[in-house]
Amino acid sequence: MLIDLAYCIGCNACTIACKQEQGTPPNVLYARVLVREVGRYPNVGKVFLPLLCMHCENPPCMKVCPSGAITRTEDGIVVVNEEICSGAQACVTACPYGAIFYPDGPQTYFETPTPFEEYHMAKRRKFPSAMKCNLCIHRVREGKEPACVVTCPTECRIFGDWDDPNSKINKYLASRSPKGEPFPLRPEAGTRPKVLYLPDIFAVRRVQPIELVTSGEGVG
Amino acid sequence: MSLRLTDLYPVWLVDLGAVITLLIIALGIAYRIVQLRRAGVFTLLRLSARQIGVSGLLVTSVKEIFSRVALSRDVISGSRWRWAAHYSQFAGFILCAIATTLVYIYYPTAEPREFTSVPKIVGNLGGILLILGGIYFLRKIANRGRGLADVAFTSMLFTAAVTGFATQFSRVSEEATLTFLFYTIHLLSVAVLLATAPLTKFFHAVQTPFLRLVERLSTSAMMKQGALAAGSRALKEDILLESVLRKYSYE
Repeated sequence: MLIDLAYCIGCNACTIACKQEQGTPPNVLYARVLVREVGRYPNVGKVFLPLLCMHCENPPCMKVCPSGAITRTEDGIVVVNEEICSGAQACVTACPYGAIFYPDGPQTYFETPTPFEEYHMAKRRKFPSAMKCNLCIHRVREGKEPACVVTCPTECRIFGDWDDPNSKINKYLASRSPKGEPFPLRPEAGTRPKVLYLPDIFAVRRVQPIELVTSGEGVG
Repeated sequence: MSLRLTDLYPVWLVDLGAVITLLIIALGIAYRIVQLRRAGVFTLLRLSARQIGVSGLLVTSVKEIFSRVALSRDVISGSRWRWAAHYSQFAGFILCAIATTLVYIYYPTAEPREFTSVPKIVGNLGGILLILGGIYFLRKIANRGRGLADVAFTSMLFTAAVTGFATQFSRVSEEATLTFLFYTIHLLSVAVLLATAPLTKFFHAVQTPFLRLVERLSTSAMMKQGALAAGSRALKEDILLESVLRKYSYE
């Protein structure tokens, strides 16, 4: 997946779409958007950083899992096998992106679970297991895109195969102007993420001092 | 003339095997440490220490080790049986390690024969606990299937415990061939169990409590900062945002 930071407006539609699709318990947010205010008054701006599991080629979560519950599928999606997970939570700490959750708190938002929550709870086991974004594997296998991708109003998330030159990602990279080099988050972790980011080309412009027209100048 | 294990394999040979095993373990542990370091686990530890101070770090660590790790408290949330089996293996291994150390220190030339001697009592109790826990986990593996690292560890630990008893009983009945056979399997299974420890599930005995501790320390650090998000996630989010902001050289 490619995320073009230039177009993320921090609307959190991806967060909600993911919640809707995956039916995750409270405090479990597979897709979330970090916000940071930047600049100095009066030249300020906001930077948004959408996060999800990076589906690393060299996932540390998989290496530290004592039960072998985390695996990487042939198509590069890192998944947790809930049946095998022993609840050691080593993956939660080892993931440099904070993308793995362990829901040992309340499992529902309301005292009485809603039918929607009941439906998703029935699919999960009783004893909590590590949870993470599975890139909507059920949708991907049907040839659809993940929920966060189809919901993004600015289409800043581009889903596709990095190795296929005709994929949506590579076509986007070729057509984007100005060109940008996709970068991974925390490359020093050696995880080789498969979710890459394009820099926010407007960010610098947004926080540059605005030239104010002083009174009298250029008038008359 | 009673059968002595030190006649079957001289002490120097067992010691040499132990040194080689230790070297392999050291290499495996170094590999694991590099992995955790690259994943940023030690950065979390450093950032937490900066927030809560070294004394806070020590106090939280000691509290966690005694209250959580020593009693395997995180495992209890699964099921009582699982906790009992888990704890049985944990305590069993510790007892066996203590018994071996006692024999090495107090009986360097010939191991004790009496079942009432301290190392025997401690070792046999440990062995029983290992076998009981092993039966639970082997049944689980057979029923539900597990990864190779899990199967290798559980079966090796079980083999070491069973052959320990087999050696003991065959030695009492003066069966030299059987004793030699069981003792060889016992020594090999213990050596392989320890040498492969950093790569099998064995390592979770060290790694999981350590990572849980890092998580706990991160929580303490973030709470001190007044953050609502608990755990290492908030620290990691800060690191991620900072790394992106650096790209734009904001003030």
